[in-house]
Parts: sequence; structure tokens; C-alpha cells
Amino acid sequence: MSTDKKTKSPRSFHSGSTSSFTDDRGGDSGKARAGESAAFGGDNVLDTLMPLTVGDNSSPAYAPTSDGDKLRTRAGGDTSPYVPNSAEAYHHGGLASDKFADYPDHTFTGCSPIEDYRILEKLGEGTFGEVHRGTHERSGNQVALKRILMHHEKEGVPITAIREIKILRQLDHENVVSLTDMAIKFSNATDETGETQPPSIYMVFPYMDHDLAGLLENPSVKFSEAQIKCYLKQLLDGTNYLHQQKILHRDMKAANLLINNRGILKIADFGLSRPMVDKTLTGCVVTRWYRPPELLLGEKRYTTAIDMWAVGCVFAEMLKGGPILMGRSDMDQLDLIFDLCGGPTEESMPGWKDLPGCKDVQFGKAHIRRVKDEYERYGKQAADLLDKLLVLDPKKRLTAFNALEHSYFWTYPKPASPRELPKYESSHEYDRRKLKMSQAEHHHNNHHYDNVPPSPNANVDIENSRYRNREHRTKKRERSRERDRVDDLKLLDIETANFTLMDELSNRE
Amino acid sequence: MAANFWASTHGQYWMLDEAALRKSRETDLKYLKEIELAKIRGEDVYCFVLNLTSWFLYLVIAALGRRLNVRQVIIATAITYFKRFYTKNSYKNTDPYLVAATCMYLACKMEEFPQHIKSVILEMKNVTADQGGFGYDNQKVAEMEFYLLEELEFNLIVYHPYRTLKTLAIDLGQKSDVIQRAWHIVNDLFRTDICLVYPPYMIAIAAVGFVIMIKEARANHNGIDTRTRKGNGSVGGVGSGSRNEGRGISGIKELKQWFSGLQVDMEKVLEIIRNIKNLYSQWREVNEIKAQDVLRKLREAQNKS
Repeated sequence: MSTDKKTKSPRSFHSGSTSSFTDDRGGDSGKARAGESAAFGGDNVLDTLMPLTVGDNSSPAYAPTSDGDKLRTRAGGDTSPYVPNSAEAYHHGGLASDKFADYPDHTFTGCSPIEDYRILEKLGEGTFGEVHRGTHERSGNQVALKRILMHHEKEGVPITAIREIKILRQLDHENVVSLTDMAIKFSNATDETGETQPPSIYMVFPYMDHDLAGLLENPSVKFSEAQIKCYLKQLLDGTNYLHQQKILHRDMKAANLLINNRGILKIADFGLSRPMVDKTLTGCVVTRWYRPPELLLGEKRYTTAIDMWAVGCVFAEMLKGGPILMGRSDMDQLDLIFDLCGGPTEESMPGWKDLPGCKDVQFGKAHIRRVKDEYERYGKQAADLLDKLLVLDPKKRLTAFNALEHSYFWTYPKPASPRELPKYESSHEYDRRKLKMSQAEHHHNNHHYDNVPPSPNANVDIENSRYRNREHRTKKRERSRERDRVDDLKLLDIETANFTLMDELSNRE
Repeated sequence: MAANFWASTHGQYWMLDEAALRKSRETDLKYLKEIELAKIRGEDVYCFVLNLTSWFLYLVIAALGRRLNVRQVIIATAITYFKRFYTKNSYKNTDPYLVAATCMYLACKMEEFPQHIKSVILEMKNVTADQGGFGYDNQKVAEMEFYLLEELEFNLIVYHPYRTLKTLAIDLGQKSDVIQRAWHIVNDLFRTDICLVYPPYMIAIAAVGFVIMIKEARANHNGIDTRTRKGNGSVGGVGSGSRNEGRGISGIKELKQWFSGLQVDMEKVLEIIRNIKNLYSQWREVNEIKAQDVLRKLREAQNKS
């Protein structure tokens, strides 16, 4: 299955797409027709259909839609080699995978016992769970194992995890991380109260040597211009693919962009992503430093443009060598954005005054847009591209597709080919964070190593989860708002410190 | 996300054949033979009884879905999960009610219509009140979810014939009674194991073919010549709705022509149509009491072990 085949198809089928059929809602209508068909039962009924099958095939009246394509390409042939014939074939997909050798990218093996993997050191951690390096025992392949955290274990597997698995399974692109396996660990261990612990679910990915944040923080790494172009191009390719598949990533940031020593960049962590829908969504997405102005102002009907703002931030981060907009609170973040991109006006951001969050905003001074001036020193083309990405109005912000057409990629130096890029020692953002934590440890002796606080992650996805305790949620939000206002923060209170803590940490230094 | 069915896990790993399905029923069959040898004889009878059980469980899941007010697609997904689970397990060794509730819970999450685990359990209790009840708490269902996910091998994306019906509706006109009826037939087909055996688009086409067939049979029965265009669409008071659609096809001859123009493996479609016929001829024989009885015995066996 080639990717463009998927993306070309004009019709997208959502699981929740509306239907014009009245019986869509759980109707059980069989009984009436049972009698009807029984009245016409008997073999002669089948015979009457036979002429249908020998009709002329020369003029297919079938509409050329994506479903139609499927009929044409696959069902046109007389036999289907894709139907496993033995009972064993489906059980572990072993046989089947041989048959599907023409789908080299579909290497998903289903579900393996956790014993198939050896779990090694921790690579990262956040609200989403923990990531460990591991090896596949039989093949020796290096993998990354991401454990799904059970925030509400009595509710079973969180819907965010289900969503992540569902989305990852449908994606297939060089620049998007691929889910290769799942593993469940059923533990026999019991906790203090004598209850058995819930099983753990691991998502298995191919191991990637670095993440972009880790590389940027590594003092021995210096990106060349061609290298930045190469990474940005891959990032845009991946983002373009996601958006064509109607997926919002919603947590684009340097730490979620994985890079291997073959120079390939892959977008990772789909824990907050979801299919695009035309309804209000939660605003609690995207790590603050990468959060676009419309989200900060409380927009709930956002578009793929939110990912493009973050892409702009990542681009600038690569140029500058570190995060560019490190707000300490949501208000501070807005201030920094307006300081760089100019204040919102009816022209630069139509309708901004109608957004629910704008009444809290105080404007001390009028800002002048200075994106171009600020980044001119990294090249005219780079500054121009960035100027078109960091646009307040989400409608005017460049799309991934259009960004790829920008002359930045077509002027000297041309983007490097991934193979030419230098190889580095493994660098992960988490290692740097651990380092910082141990430094912070000197000041806070009551803190433990293994309680490393989460990164400045976006808050956990809360829409649709109406079963969660609302009161608790509001309180929690209030608390984090309160915290936003306080300048000098304590390092503790890990439980609720989802996305503020790391900001504070970085600001301390 | 318009994805390709054949590249999906549904197309790759979950197209089973009759032999595999038969094999998956072995444990239950063996047990039924042990306990009921005196009463019923013959392999086919046992198979029939088990099919009946699966039919009955369809009703349980559909009733649960309706109580939760979920869309038909979610019910279809839950039933597919349920059927897939029982290709690897036996009714005797796992409580089908627990599995049914868990399947519905997971399907709701999967199709972006999350339900509170407690409301799923509550409604399941209501549905099964007169059938021995549902004695599980959320922890049990949450635990079952892990086993379910494992058995499904995390192959959660399920394709349904409804999508193809919508595509076919473009040809036939949105209000075409053919599509409406085929839609009902597809609903009914989830009582059988057809969704495990045939690709969803073939099931949809077969359902449409069956409707056309019935229309023609009825027209012949009424003594109207189907070879003339005149008065075709309104035979038996059906088909008139699609006339105003402009693009709609309603005459039987046109329908047949259109149908034979579909590029699809007609052998397979005919197989499915035979299955549809079987389903409706079985309809009258279905005895829910009997199914409940078998189910009760299987569940009892499970409590004993």
C-alpha cells in the first residue's frame, strides 16, 4: 500500500461519520423481513439471481470512490491470496505475514508475551508513561517499550491509549514512528493492601538513538544549515502526512521528534493525538512552549494549524539551538508570543476578541512583529519561512504542504540527504532532565531520584472522558492556574505538576 | 482516515474460514456431547445449538447497545470483537456475558463514544436480569479488557459493510429502498459468523444483491414483466422514494444491470447470499429458550471448574 494511494482518496471514512440511514441507531429490524424473505424462500430464488452474475462486465457502473478502488484493485481478481486457509494462520499471524510480503511496512506482529523482550534502562518519562530501552530476545533487535500508565485502573485501559494504538496502527510513513508490537505483562505481585496489581501494557517501537531536544541540548552537537533543512523537511513530510490522514498530533515538540543515526526523523508520541472532527475539543493540549496563541486564548475549535505553530517553534529551536518561547505560565507564554509576533489586532488575528481567554489578557505595551528581524541572521529564506509559520491567525499560517514548497528548501545549501548526516552518541531529552534533576537535588534533599517529575507535557486529554471526576478536574485546573500565577515555585507536588514543573526548573537555571 | 481494507489487520489476519470456525467450537461441542449425549444426536445438531447460542448472544449485545444508545457501528464492532474472542476460547471456559459487556465497553472507547464502565455494567445487569444476571464489578470488567485486548492482538480496527453500503448508495440514490433494506439485512447478518469469514464489502454487495433478488421474485410473483421499463420502480409500493433522486436507479432491470457491472468476485457473493437465505430460513426455528438453556449449562460448567 503506497502512501499516496491512501492520501489521494477524496473520501475519508470516520468511524463516527453521520449516516443518512434512519436505522443507524441500534435498530433490530430483522423480524419483519424474516417473514418476507421466507415467503420467497426456496432455491428458485437463488436461480433468479444467476443471470445477474453473467451480465456484461464491460461497463462497470461502480463509482470510482475509495471503496470502489478497493473493489477494483483487489476484488477484480478471481482469487484472493489474502485469506489464510488454515486455522493456525490467523492465530499468530506468522503464516499470514509471509503472504503479505508485498506489504513490507506492515510488520506489526500483534501481541507478544513480555518475556519476548528484555527491558533495559529508562529512556523517558512523562504523563503518558515510561519509555524503556529493550531488546527483542529472539532477533536481538533494539526496541523502545512504552508502558501505558493506568491513571484510572478501574476504568480499564484509558481511551487515550486506545486512541493512540488505533491511530498508530493506521499510520504508515517514513517520518512517523511505527508501532511494531504490543506486549502485556500480567503480574502476580500484590501491593500493600493485598490486591493484585493491574497488568501493564507495553507498546513496542523500533529504537531511535536520539530525540531532537536531547540533541539540541547536547553541547557537542552543532547542526549545519543543510542538516536543519533535512530535519525540517522530514518533519514537514511527516506532518503533512498526518494532516492528510486527518490526524491532529496535538503534542508536537522537539522532545517528541525522534532521530536515528541514519538521519531519519520520526514524529512520535501520539498520546494526545486524535482524528480531526468538527466539534469542540479540549484546549488542554500541546506543551506550553509550543502552544499556539489561539489555544492560549481558549479556542476550542482548532485545526491542524496548531501543529504548524509547534513546527515553527521547533524550526526556530533548531536555528537558535534551544527553545524560543519559554513561558512560565500561560499568560507569560502569550506575552512572549505577542512580543515576538506582534500583538493581536483584527487584522493579524481576526476574531481574537471573541475567544474566551482574551479577557484575562492585559496588554501593557503595543508590540511590533519582529520575527524576520530576529531570525534574519540565520538566513533570509529561513527567516521568511519562519515568518510564515509563526503567524497569529491560524487561517493564514502555512500548511505543511505549502511549507514544503517554500524556496528555503530549494536554495543553497540544499537539504542534506539523511545518510550524509553525522552520527552521534545517543542523546535523549530525559538524560538531560535527569542531570538537571540531580543538580536540583542539592537544593531539595527531600526529593528522590526515581521521582523525577514529568516533563512540561500537555495535560492529559480530558474531552470525552465525562466519566472522570469533574470536580477533581476543575480543582486540579484551578490549582495549576494558581500555580501559574506564582513565580517562585516549589519543586514538589508531583501529582498535579503536569506541565508547569519543568518550566520552573528550566527557569531556575 | 481512509485506509485500505486489505492492508488492515482485519483483512490480513481476521478473515477466517469455516474450518477454523468449526475448530474453535470443539471444546464446547465436546462438552455438550458429554452432558447431553442422551438427548441430542449428531454433530450438526450440536453446531446448530451453538449457532443458536451465538445468535442469542447477539441479541444480548444488541440489547445492551440499544440501552446505551450507541450507534449500529459500535454494536457491530462489539459483536465482531466478541466473535473474534470466541474463535480462540470456548463458552464453557469463559463467561460470555462478561466477555460481551467487555466487548461493548471496548468498542465504545474504540469508536469514540466512551461510556462509563459502571453504566455498561448497570445496563448489562438490566439486560441479563432474567437470564441469571451479571455478577461482575468494574474491576473484573477492566481485567477482562486486558485479556480481550490480548486475544484480539490489539487488532482493534474493524471494517463494516455499512461503509460500502454508503458508497453504493451514491449509485442508487440516498433514499433507495434497496440500500435501506440491505442495511437491515447487514444488521441481521451479525447474528451469524459471516463477518469473520467474508470481507465486509462483499457482505454489503451480497445484501444488496439479495434485496434485488427479492424484488424481482416479488415482481414475477405479481405477474409483472420485469423486462419492460414501464412501472418498474413502484412494484409493491417500493422504489418510489428513489425516483426523485435523479441519479437513483430503481427499475429492476437497471438494478440487475448495475449489479452485474460491479467488479467483485461473484462466486463469493453468491456464497454469502446463500448464507443470508439460510439465516432467514432458520429464523423461525430459533428458540431463545433453548439457547438460554444451553448457555446456562455452559456457564454452569464454567462455575464448576
